[in-house]
Amino acid sequence: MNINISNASGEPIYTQIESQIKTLILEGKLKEGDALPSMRTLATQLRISFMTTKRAYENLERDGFIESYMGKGCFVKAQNMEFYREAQIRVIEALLMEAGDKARKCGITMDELHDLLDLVNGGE
Amino acid sequence: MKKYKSLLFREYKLSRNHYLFRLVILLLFLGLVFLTLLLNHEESQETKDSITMFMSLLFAMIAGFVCADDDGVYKSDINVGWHTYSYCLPVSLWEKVIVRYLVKVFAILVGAGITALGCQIIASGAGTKVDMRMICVFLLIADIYLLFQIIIDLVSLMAKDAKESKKFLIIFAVLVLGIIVLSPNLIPADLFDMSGDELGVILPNRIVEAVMKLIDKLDLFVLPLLIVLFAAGFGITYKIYERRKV
Amino acid sequence: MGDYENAIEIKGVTKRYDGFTLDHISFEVPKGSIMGYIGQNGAGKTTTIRSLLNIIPIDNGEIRLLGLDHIKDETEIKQRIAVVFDELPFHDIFNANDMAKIFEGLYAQWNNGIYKEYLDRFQLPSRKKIGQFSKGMKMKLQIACALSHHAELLVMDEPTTGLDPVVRDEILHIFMEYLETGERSILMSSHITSDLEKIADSVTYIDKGKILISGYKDEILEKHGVLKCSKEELKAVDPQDIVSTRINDFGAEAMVYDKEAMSDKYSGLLIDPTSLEEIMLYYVNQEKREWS
Repeated sequence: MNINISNASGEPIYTQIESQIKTLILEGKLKEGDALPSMRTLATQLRISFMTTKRAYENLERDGFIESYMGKGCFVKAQNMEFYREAQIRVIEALLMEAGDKARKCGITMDELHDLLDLVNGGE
Repeated sequence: MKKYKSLLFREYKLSRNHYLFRLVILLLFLGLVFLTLLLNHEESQETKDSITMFMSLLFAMIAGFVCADDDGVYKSDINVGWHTYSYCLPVSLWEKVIVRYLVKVFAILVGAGITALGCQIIASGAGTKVDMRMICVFLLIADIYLLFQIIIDLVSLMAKDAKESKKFLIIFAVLVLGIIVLSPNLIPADLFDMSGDELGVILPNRIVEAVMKLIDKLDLFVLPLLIVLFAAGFGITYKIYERRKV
Repeated sequence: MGDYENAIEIKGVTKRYDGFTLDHISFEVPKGSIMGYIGQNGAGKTTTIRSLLNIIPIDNGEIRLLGLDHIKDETEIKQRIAVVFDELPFHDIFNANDMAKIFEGLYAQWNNGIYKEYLDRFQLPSRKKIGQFSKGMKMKLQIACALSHHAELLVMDEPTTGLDPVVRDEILHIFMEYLETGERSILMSSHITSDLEKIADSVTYIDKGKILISGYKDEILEKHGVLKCSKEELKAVDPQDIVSTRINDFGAEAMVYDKEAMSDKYSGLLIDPTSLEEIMLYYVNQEKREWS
């Protein structure tokens, strides 16, 4: 399991940990029932305060990605992929709306926008 | 028990050089005297006897001085910061002071033994019998030295600063001098009367006579006095160690 | 061992000296956490630690270590804690083995195996006289001794001051490992805020004998920020929202207590994230209000 944190990115460390673990889970690299490293071990390895990892884990649990068992640790929870997909579609919609706004403001047509989308994402 | 073993080990390692050095001095002195006496068998028995007495006396006095001498462990504990640090350890004040005193008592007991041995060696070098009163001389000197140390420690306890220390020391010095001067029999009147025989023989003989007279008067007190001084010294050391941050 | 919530509880501790007073110091170190005790030289860090350890008596207040009274239960406490000073308090003529012989009789829980492991890890020779050790080696030795009797609380007075970054990093990492069980805690005083920035769970600032701020490090770092604007723009801001302001010829930099609240209250403000060091600078000047 690979976690890298950046001190310079301005993003709080606990958020970085959260999103990296979320991604690992959603990409299937962490599977249902897999054990996460203990909060303290992760903190020691990353050389950060364990309060930070604790907060990240608490948030992940709150968001339904992991569950914790007293004395045993934290484990990955089965994910409802449909649910996640829906949520991501909403985020993408918002981004596309913003792209559309900016395009209109400087006179770029929707066709040109479609072309741009293909160009940027490798024409898939 | 384990605790005392560790604490004594610490004291041993820290004071070892101090005591070894003094042991070597005593041995050197002993060796010199022994050799001198051995190589001079032409001298009359009387001369040898008086030399033996004088040298034994000297040996006992040096031994007394050297064994009652402070071994500097407390001072170095303070310098290194161990004294303050020891208050962070699970060691009680009692344990610390007892261990300190065990070392002192042991040094003096060993000193008494060395005095006896040393005097025996000197006596056999001269072919005479040993005068066991020398052990009393040793104890007397040790008592005096301990007393001085107690006075100095007491002054540092009572005085709040250097000025007050000087005041107290002067008061004590006057008291002690007064006692010595006013005690009629302490210093015999004819000690320094130089008329008569060779100087080299008279003075040492007279000193030996004077000291031995003193010893005969005090010999019963010397050991109890030692115990009393140990107790007093223990109490004062306890009070001094109570100061956690020096 | 113990059922206690806070490894250290200090309440209203006051200690008066001629030129200096430790004034109503209060803070807590929760079990399992590292607290960084930050302050300038002479701020009162060492005095606080000496009071904790009952090396100096306090005039007022209450101190509890591991849930026990710091005076009445002193002997029991001292079996279960370890102390590290900024200068090694061991005699030069001893070597590492000698120290083991001394400590094994004093601590019921002393473990020679663990001690030897630390000596190996720190690469400390066991028979060389301590007097010949470098400064870093001396500190490592003290730490090896402190970590070898299952101490539940480490109290350390400036353990990393004067050490080079490589050694400091090594030592801090060892502290974090030591705390992995969750049952051990650390109080560490320092003025090297960058060390504490990394590993402290909570921080307490002391200046001139008074506590300036105390709390979880992450929260403190997230809440505070530095507002950068012109001197005129600054006038529009309520002084209650500002810790203190640093003035220069080209503008002002004001530390704010609550970044988020500020952006709700005022619009269009540029507030930068901050560091433990900056927080110390601004809080130290809190009464002065403006400084440069």
